[in-house]
Amino acid sequence: MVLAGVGVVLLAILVFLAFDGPQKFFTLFAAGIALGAVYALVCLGFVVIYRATGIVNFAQVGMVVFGAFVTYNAVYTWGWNFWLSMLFSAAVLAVIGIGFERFALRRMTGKPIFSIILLTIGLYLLLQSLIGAIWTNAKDTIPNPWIGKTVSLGSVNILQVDVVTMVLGAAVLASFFALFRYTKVGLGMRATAIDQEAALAQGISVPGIVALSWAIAGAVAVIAGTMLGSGATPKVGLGLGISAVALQALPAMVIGGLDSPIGAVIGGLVIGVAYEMAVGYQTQYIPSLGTSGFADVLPYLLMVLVLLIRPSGLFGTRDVQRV
Amino acid sequence: MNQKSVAKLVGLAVVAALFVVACGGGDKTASNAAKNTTTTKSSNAGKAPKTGPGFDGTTIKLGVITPQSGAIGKIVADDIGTPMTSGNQVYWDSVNANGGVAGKYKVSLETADSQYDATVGLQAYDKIKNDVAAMQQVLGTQVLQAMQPKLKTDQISAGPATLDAEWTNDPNLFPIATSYQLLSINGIDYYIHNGGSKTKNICVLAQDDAYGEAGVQGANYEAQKAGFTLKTVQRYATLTDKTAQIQALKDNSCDAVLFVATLADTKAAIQTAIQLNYTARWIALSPAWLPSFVASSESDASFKTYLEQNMWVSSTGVDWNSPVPGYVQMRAAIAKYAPTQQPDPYFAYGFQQARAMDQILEVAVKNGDLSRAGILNAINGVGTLKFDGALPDFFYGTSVATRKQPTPATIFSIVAGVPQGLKTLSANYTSAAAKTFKPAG
Amino acid sequence: MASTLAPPPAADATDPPNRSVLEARARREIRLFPTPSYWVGAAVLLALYLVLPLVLSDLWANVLVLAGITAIGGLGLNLLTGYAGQASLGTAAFVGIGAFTASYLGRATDVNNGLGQPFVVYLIAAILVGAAVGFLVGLPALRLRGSYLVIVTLGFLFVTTYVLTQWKTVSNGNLGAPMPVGVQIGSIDFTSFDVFGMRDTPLGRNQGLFYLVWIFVAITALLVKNIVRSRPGRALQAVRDRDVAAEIVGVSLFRYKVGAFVVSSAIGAMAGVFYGLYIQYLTPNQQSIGLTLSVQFLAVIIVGGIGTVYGTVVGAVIIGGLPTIINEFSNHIPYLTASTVSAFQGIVFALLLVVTLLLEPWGFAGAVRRFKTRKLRRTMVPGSAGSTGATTG
Repeated sequence: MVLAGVGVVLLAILVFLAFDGPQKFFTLFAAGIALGAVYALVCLGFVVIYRATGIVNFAQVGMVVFGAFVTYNAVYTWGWNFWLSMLFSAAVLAVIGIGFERFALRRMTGKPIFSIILLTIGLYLLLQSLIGAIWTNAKDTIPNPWIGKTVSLGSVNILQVDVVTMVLGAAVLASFFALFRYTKVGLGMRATAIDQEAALAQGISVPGIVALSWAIAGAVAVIAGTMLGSGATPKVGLGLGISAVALQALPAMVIGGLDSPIGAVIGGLVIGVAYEMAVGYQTQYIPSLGTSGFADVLPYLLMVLVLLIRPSGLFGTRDVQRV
Repeated sequence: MNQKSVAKLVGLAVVAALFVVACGGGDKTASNAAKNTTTTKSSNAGKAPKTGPGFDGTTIKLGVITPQSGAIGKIVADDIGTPMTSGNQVYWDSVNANGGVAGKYKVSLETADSQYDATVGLQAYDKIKNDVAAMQQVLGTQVLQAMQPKLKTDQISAGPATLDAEWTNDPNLFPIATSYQLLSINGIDYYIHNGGSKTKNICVLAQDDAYGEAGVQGANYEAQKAGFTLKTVQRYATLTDKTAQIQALKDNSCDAVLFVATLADTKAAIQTAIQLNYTARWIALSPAWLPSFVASSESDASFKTYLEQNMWVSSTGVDWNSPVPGYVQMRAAIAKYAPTQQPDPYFAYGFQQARAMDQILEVAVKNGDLSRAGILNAINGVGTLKFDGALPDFFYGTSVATRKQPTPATIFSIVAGVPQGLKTLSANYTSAAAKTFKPAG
Repeated sequence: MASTLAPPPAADATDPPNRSVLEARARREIRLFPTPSYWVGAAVLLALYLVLPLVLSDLWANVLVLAGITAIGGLGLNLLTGYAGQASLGTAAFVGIGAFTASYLGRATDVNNGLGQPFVVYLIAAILVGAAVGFLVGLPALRLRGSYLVIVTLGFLFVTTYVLTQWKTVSNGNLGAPMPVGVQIGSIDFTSFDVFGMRDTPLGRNQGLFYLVWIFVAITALLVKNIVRSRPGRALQAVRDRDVAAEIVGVSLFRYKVGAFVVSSAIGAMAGVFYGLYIQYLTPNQQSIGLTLSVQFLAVIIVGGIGTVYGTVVGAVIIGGLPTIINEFSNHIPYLTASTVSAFQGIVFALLLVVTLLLEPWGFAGAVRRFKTRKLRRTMVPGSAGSTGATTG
């Protein structure tokens, strides 16, 4: 009920802003969706690991930015085709993901959740530092087929690279859906997400499922990182700015529900649109909140709001508290 | 061991420690002793100059605090810090080849990473401060601002690699070029008199930090003096999406935009402008410019074209192939010591900055004092920093009160294929407002 | 430092005279100085404390000051995370809050509208502000756990830097603010330290701060030690291990969870005051007081030994000293250039964190304990395992 009320209020604000100046509103809205698509892709990687292991995997942030650089290396240094490079990078990061699971995370079974999260932070910092050591003089963008090109949607222009990002985001979501719904492995993943012990008892190879989840997370990270590095909104280009963007996706994951793929996408889009609207209108309507910076914390404020009303997020599985 | 003997032991330790406190040790006392042995102040050039940290009697060691890593630091490093430091280095290579400062004292540089952040920058400062006689280069407005109190305590002079106007008021700093405020003032004024007018919508797009504030300050001053108001001032946090800001510029029908950015955000801002079909006269301050934006390897053709058609850069310096002696000397040094160096405005700045340091060190040698205090004093003895046409000369006089900031800016248009991508529209342009501008104390 | 030398508190005096062997052992374990060798250790530390600043170069004094500050914040975080089991990425936020409280109250009145208050005033104020904010952050922690708490405290960190940036009276906005210049307690000025005018020239700022900071390391260590070896400490551990069960046996979750946040945040803010004094100028952004700094504090307690007091201090010295050690020896490490040194430092830091978590989850303290146990096993009755619990340190 309360949640619906909040939704109505937010929607009303959007409608008000839309009538205030349609051109501005729809431009910002489009940018918000584009930004949201990036957040969604990052979050999908978070969600896969959360479902398999019950932890928020900060290493995902490192995999996103590392994946971008591996793609860059293939495209720019080796001169490969863009898609081939991305595929190659996805394979590399899948292997890295499996390696992380096999040689690090698996050894942490039974340790406090906090230690495990800290381990993933360590892995994130490791990947990020490696970038500084390996690619000391990279270009500012991954060369790609859509540089500088836009498509028009009515009076609003959208970057082609953003359209590709949205399509890829939708494709990943759809394949998640298909995977979980129609394949045996997917069924195992769902079972593992619900109850690891029960899944084991049913003869599901839980370690195999967890390893697969890490591989998928690595591959999804590459898509997010490559698109960011190719100049997708917010146009940070190829650099460590990518990890800042990936970190901003965390509240989207909580808003959507930690274990829900559709929640990750919706949460990402909500955060993306909220961000752009905040940048576009806050200085105009609430100048007392400062010249910049409010938009950066708004996602976290929305997150706290959702947590207060519905701790499991919009689409997350409600936790049964075990005593 | 019983408790009594433990207590004795502790007591002994305390006494021993207090004894050491009383009798000295530690480097402060050592440096004090060094001070006492070399206090014979002489002003004749024949005697060896007074030594101090960073000068052992033969080699002068200078510090460079510049970003080398970090999210923004890496970008700034690759594109600004590295060429600037190499400008410093090439200059000193050429001087060292002729024997060094005053023909005798070789100069070497020690670099520390600031990550383009004030806090990290201070640690970098602490790391190298005991090894150096002065700071050849400190990059980043925030970094330098945080460092000012320490420079004062340690009597270290520093060359700002940032152009805020207020540096002129600090006796420890030796700025060499026209300030951001004046670049803004001149840039807007040039627009008003060349194609634009006061009645056009003039706006600002600025980074939300100290550097951005300096640009806005200049824009406000010019508006007030020339008699118009800025249509809108848009600010953004670095490395974030700028759709909303560009849309606001468009909604306000801005004809000209003073662009106070660093090159980390230039591409994103211009790409967004292209995406939103927004064209205006962009007047960028020098830190927003990077020659490789229009290099042949740049894959975004629309970006290149937009820059060529719509952007000017308000900067210092002259065309790379200019015949002024300052640039002739620089090109000769590059040919000899860094043949792979591409034409680069930051390299040029670094080269001239080392040249300023050289002039100060020459005075210090003449005064017979290459200690930190001696170098600090020497700043007030140079009279005028001369750059042989590479930059406008900078009058220093005898104290900060007599310093006169050079007011001219060079307005460049952007042309792919010429060195640095910059072609002079107007060299040494000075607006009426620029002549009266005083940096805030 | 005087309190270090005081005899162990006579908390045992009221106990009945007939005590079992087990009780006696338990009593020994919770004592401040269980064996005479601890007294020797304390004496050595005291001697080191007095002598080190006199012989250290500026650089190393600097490193040890930072290590001391990290130790203070780490001790607070260890109370929260190690003992009470509440994970937090928000430590840097409290450091920022403490530092800017100190800056605003302590900087001179002609510098960005400062209030020009003395050290004692701004230190106490910062601790109180830290405690108050810690209380507010502790409330949601009652309902959140695990991953959620980590993300929410990260959000708190972002909100803090935002609020500090906007609150220009305090922080001077984006430009950042200078910290108080002098640090005086009574007639002692720690920025140019001298005892009774016995030296020709006073010690430098870094050396003076060393004396100041490490007193507070000792005070904080004693405070934390006294909390964890008494009833609240056992309650905290009960909350960490089985919070619902703890509540059933009468441990107030509200009191201890929120209490842990309050004390830990107050200590974090205190560390912030010293951080401010050390760094002298602070910008309220993610680079200065952000995730990296928070992770640094977490690394300290992990590497040193989670749930131990002395381990935290050791961890702080290791983490604090590592970058400088690497830097000093970078010339001798092949393939390391100026532009890759910081990347290399990052790699070593990350590896240290990862490897510790994997191979020695109880950190330095755990390794020491294992070593002792092994020795004990060899010399004592074969087969009698020593205590491997990591909670009593």
